[in-house]
Amino acid sequence: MSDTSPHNKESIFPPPFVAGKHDFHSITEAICGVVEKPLNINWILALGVAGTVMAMLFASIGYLFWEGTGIWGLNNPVGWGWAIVNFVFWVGIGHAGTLISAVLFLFRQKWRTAINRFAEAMTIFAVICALVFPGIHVGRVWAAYWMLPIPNQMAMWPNFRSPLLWDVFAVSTYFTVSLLFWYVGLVPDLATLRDRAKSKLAFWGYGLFSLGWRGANRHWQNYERAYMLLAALATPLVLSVHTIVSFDFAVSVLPGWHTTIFPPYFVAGAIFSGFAMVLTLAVPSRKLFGLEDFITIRHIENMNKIILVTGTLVGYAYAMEFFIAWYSGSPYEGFAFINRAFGPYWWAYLAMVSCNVISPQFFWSKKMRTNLTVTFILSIFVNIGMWFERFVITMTLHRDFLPSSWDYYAPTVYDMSTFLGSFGLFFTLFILFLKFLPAVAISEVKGVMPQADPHWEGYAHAHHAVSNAVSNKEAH
Amino acid sequence: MKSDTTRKYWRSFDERNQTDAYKAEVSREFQDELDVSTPEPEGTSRRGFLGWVGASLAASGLAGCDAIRRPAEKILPYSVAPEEILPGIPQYYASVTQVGGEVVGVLVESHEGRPTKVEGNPLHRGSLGALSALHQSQVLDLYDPQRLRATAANGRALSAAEARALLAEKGAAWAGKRVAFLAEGVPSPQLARLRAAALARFAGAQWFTYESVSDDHQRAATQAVFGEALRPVYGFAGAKTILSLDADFLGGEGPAVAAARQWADTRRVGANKDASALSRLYAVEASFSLTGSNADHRVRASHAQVEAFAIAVAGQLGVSAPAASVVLEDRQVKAAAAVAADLRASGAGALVLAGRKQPPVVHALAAAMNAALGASVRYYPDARRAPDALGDMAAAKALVAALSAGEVDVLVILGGNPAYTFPADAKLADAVKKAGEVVYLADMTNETTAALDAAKAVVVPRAHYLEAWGDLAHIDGQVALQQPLIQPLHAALSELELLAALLGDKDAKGYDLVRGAWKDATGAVGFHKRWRRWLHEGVVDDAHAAFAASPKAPSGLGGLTATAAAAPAADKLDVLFVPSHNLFDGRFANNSWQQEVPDPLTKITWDNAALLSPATAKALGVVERPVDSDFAVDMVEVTLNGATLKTAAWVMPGLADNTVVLTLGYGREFKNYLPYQEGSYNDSTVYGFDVGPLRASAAPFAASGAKVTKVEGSYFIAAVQRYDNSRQHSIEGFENMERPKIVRETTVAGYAENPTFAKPGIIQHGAPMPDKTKFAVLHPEAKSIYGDFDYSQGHQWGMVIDLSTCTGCNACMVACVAENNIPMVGKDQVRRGREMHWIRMDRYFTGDDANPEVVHQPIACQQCETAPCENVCPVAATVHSPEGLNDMVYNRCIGTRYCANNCPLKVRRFNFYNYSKGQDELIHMQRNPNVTVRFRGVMEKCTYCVQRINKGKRNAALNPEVKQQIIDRITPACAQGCPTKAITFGDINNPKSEVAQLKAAALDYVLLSELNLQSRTSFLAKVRNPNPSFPG
Amino acid sequence: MTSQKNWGVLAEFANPAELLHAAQELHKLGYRKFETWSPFPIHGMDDAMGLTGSKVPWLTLGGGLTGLTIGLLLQWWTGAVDYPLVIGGKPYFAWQFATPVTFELSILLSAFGTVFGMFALNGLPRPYHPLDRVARFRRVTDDGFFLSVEVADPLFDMERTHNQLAELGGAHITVVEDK
Repeated sequence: MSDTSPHNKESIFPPPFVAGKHDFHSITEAICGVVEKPLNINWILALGVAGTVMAMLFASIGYLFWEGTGIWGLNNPVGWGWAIVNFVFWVGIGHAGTLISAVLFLFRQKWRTAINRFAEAMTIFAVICALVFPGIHVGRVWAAYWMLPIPNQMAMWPNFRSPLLWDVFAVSTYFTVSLLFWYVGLVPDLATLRDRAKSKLAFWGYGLFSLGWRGANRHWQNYERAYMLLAALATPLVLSVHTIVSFDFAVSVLPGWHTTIFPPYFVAGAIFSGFAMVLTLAVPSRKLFGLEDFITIRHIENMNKIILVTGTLVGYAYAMEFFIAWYSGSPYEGFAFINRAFGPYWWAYLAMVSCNVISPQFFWSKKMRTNLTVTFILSIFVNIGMWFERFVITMTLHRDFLPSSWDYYAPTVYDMSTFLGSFGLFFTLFILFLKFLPAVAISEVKGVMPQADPHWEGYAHAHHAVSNAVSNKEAH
Repeated sequence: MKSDTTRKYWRSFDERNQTDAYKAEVSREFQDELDVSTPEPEGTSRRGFLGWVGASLAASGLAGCDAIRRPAEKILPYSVAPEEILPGIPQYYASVTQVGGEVVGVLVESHEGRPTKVEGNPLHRGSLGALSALHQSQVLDLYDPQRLRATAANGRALSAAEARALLAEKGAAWAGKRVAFLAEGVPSPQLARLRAAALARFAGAQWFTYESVSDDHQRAATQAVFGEALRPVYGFAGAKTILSLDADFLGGEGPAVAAARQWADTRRVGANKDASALSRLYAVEASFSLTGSNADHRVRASHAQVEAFAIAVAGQLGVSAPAASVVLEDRQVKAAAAVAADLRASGAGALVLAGRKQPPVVHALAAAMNAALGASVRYYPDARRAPDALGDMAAAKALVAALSAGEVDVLVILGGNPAYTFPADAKLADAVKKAGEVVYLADMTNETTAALDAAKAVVVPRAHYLEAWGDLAHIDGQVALQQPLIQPLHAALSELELLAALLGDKDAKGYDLVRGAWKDATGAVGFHKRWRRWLHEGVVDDAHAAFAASPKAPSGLGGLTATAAAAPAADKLDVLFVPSHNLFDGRFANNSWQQEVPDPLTKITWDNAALLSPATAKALGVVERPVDSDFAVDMVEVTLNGATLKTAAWVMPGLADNTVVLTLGYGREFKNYLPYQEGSYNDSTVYGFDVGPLRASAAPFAASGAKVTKVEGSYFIAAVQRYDNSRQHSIEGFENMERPKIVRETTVAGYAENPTFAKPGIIQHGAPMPDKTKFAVLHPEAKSIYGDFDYSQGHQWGMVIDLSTCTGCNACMVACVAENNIPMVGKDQVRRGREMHWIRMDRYFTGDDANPEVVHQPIACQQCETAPCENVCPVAATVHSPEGLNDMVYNRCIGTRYCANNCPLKVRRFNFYNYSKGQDELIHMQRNPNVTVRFRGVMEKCTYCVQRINKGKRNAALNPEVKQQIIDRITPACAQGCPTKAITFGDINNPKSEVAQLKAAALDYVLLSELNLQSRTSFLAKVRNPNPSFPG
Repeated sequence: MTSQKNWGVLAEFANPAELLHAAQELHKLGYRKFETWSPFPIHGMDDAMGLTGSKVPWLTLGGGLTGLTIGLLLQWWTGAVDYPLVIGGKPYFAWQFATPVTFELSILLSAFGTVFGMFALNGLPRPYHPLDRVARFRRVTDDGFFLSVEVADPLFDMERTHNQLAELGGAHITVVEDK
């Protein structure tokens, strides 16, 4: 067979997970270098921009608290607008991280090591952005805590029949577990930074959070087991979260919402958008921070494959919705879907389908999968498309059973500033992360290097020699 | 040093020295800013304490406690505890009111002296226990912060007493002067008495009566036919066939409240097996009236064709009729034949009504036809004006002419707003300045006060009917006493008091005037008891009716001939002026309740617009804007003999082509404060367009030869049923998408052959459903997977709404607003889809655009037993009561709006803002203390008036011997206020209750039964009574 | 330095293979209180050191069961005992609608059990360790592979242990002192 064919090459000699001529130390240098370099102006500029946009978020929220939800475009049939759209959008994005970490870990997909840290961080920040919205979208924010089962002067408890309450538990659990997962992964790397620390501040800072980790094997044993278990827990969790988010819609009685396909369809969509966002972030930052050796083209390509799969799944769901709407014989259902596609929001439906179903199809070709520019652009498309998917679903509200109550929803400037601002929050956190924490899991990367395996052919000779030496001594 | 408790604090030397003047001042409970100085001759205790509420609190605090240091603003003590008053227990008093001369007796609910809600007086024949939306909304006017507070005379603000004195001396000075009076058409015996007195007192004085919404044509016709101006009273009871010639007798022409009830009684199927006794209503009209929307057959005809139609029908009934000046279309000819046959067949059971827009000859024809058919119509003298008075339009012109000619030294305007309501060719605004002096009894500053020359004018605040004594005669002569519920909030006088003062009696109080007069009229013997009974019942014995029916019979047409009219054409359109269903002639323009309640047919709030038929609109290039256009509509310019009007255009199905319908009463400023009325959809607080400039006295209701052109620009309209979603779809190409019928209707014939057609499972119009929608009925009686909750014990409240008798008049909406403190949100918010009405009036068109049929459907919370809203609330803020009410717990709600999303009927309303923020305290006085005023961020919805239910249960518990009667009498505000009694409420666990029996009726159905909501509110399907032999 | 006492000896090895081998040998020789230190977990090291399995899974299970119980009890007690309300005609408690919250709570507490249990078993956080006194040891989180034998080990003999480590290829063998 000819070596020129990439497929054969891949199938016979898989390319290493870490490109370039790296040993353990150079990896440490490369990754910690990013953190230890003095602040550079571009980073400060980026942080400035993101921070400003984030300030817009808080300004919008401030005005919201002052005046009430009326500043948004909500109306009577459409009780949920952009706030909920954004919530679902961000939660969806928050799925790739844990998925990459957990599921790929369980499937022993070693290629994950380069991107999982990065993806988990993204998850956490995305979920933070998501959590902003349910909090602020309620009419009386100062009473939002009543959703938690806290004994109160009214002797009232939350209503556990409400999908919204399930949501509270699901999303907060998801956030907590993702955070733990991320942190556990960070501990050895924080120890690395601690041991390389030049400044007292860095030493104490990293020292505090690395909990005095020193790489003892007995610790590694518990650590690996715990990590594996966390992954095992996070996997059903990650699936449950968007399932439950989809219950917010599916458990209602409304045509277009009351749909059993929602859970799998939402999960697929979440993974889809999650990976898209990972790519949107990874492609530029691997260049910016010189991480090409760790986030290799192969990683990008694998993620593009997942996007292709999940994108097609989502497309299938769109089609199936229509089929069921027709097959159910429910005129309300039928109308709801025709209204989605041909009603006043046809443009949103068009944007959704073209971004989510059509654009990923480019990834059938390896050329496209491995082309960074294409990947970047398409990942943006997918992000847009997935936002529109949630918009389309939420806007189903605008025409339900009784035509007399139909209305049209249009966002106000505050809807937009809040949404835009949430990106500010997201990127601010992300930029800080890139600067102060190792963007790639150092110990894990080392762990998957060939020379990390004690039985690597490179060691065979040394091995033998030593063992002889020792046994000779015993002879005497 | 004295101890603080006994230490005196003083505000003035007078106070410290306790001078007599000061004592006198303080001993009067009320200070000058609201004058109630003279003591009450009788009923002092009640009226005295009622007055408290109006008092400025500082003053009463002072009066109550002689300025010892106390939180004077916080306490409101009864220095004399009023008898029979339990704080928190409302009192009810009978009174009477009128709008445009249409009189209704009312029962007023009063909380601690604050009138909060008016309901109909069952003993009054103009009310029969219900009220129109307009009559109910008047209570809000009482607390209108814009009302005048004191008499303004040459720059000074006078108390009522000072005003009376001033008027008395003016009256004295007017001897020999040319005095003119301008009054509204108020049918009050006392006003008539004082009118006579005034005309006697001021030699050569002229008395003009003007109502913008005029019955001139009817008057002219009866003058011609009977020899005197009479008003017909139609006996709907037993009517079989009713022909309305452009007469909106359900929508406000004549005694509409009573008429609606009597008509509805001939339309009720209820639990009856047999619907053949139903009356049949034909409406012939060019505009689209409420009556037309309730007709079995609505014949669309141009304004002139209505007359031709009348002539055609009359001809076939053997009534000598002139030759019509316009030709009828073929279908109309056939229709006329069918109608005539039907009328003849019904004989005495027939009724022909002529509308006020129609020329005298049509009224004459109607009278002749009724006479020929032996229909039960009685004619009564028109008590709204002096028998020999000029017609409204003539009066307006005569007065303005006299003024312009400088022939009026003194003009006395008794209420109204003539500068706005006068026809275009009688411009009071310019002429009135020529009057030597003007006395104007006004509600608030308006176009007329603006026109007055302040130096020569005395503007006196007019007392609200709830503040003043009076009496009013119903169209059939029944007199009701108007007794006040509260001292005048401001230094206001009633018409009677003002006239009395002018006549020199400067101490005359309404109480003396009215009671005195009645004492004189009915004799002193036993008068006191009699009087108490009249006040108690609200009506005077018929023995003392103001007038009796006229014995006269119509003779021919009184020489009236067909009006020369030409059919409208694209270049000369007909213009019709119709009174606003919400603002009437504009007098309700400052009333937010009426501004925000939607027009029954266009569903427009806060505005009027030029209505055009779809074909005409198309021809003019006026298009219905797309959904996402923020609901901006096109503008048109209407040019009618010289005058032009630029107004918004609205496409209205069912109108006659080449006809533009303009609504009176708009284009006035809304002066009150609504916190969120400012917004991107209304740049000013002047709502709608004043069509007055086009309205000539010669053609006050119908003019022809108008040019209408589409002009640049657009206008935001706030309509609560948007972009014609009334056709149940609005996607091109999917019009025929079948969905289970939300409104279910059949015909008398259809009902006979399939009475249960409306039951779940047969959702199509009388026919079994197509397979496509079988899902809807797979398990009509489906139970939840958990098993159903047991509601078999105790009271279980339920409601039935009869679509056959609901006329869509909005009375229930206003009743609900008054009862439940529902905030008005303003045009901008309505435009954004945030209106707060708990009960909404859905309007659906069926049939073709050109001539559709209409169904009105009131929708409030259906109180589902398996309520979708309850399940999804994360904080259990909406839960079920053991009596089956879906309770909304405001102080638990955090406002996720999930419940509203999940409500299949979208009846929940969300406080997106704090809609009652910063409103005037006077407005707060209207609020019902038994209903929470909701804060921003909470959801609200219909509660079945749970406060009324609990009141009933409390009373029942207190009076065990009449327990059941009290329970049976529990009604929510909407049911109470419904003129046609289309809404029935009660305990469905009690098989004897009316509601339980109606729920057992064949026509009973629940909305969206396929969702297994187990709704407590159900509907009786509409039964139309079309004429089988009517041309299709 | 009277207060100083020996904690053990620390040897550095070139790569994972040598460390693994050294661990195997020491275990063969009967050492038990020795530990290997590496920047990443080394495959096969647990067997080499003869370690028994980790206890973390039990803690996970414990957490999960607690979550399950709390979830069910919370929803049953609040809904059916403490403040029963008729909501949407549904019963006061039913497993159908209790499932999501119960599931989430189980996961949450399992995760807590796992993570905090793991830290507890590892005796973390541990701000101080005698090895911190060895400058070279800092490389353990970079590319250093170390093996330490504690004085506490019965077989420990400064001389012999030192030599054995040296023969196993241990470099920079240092005696680690502790306070």
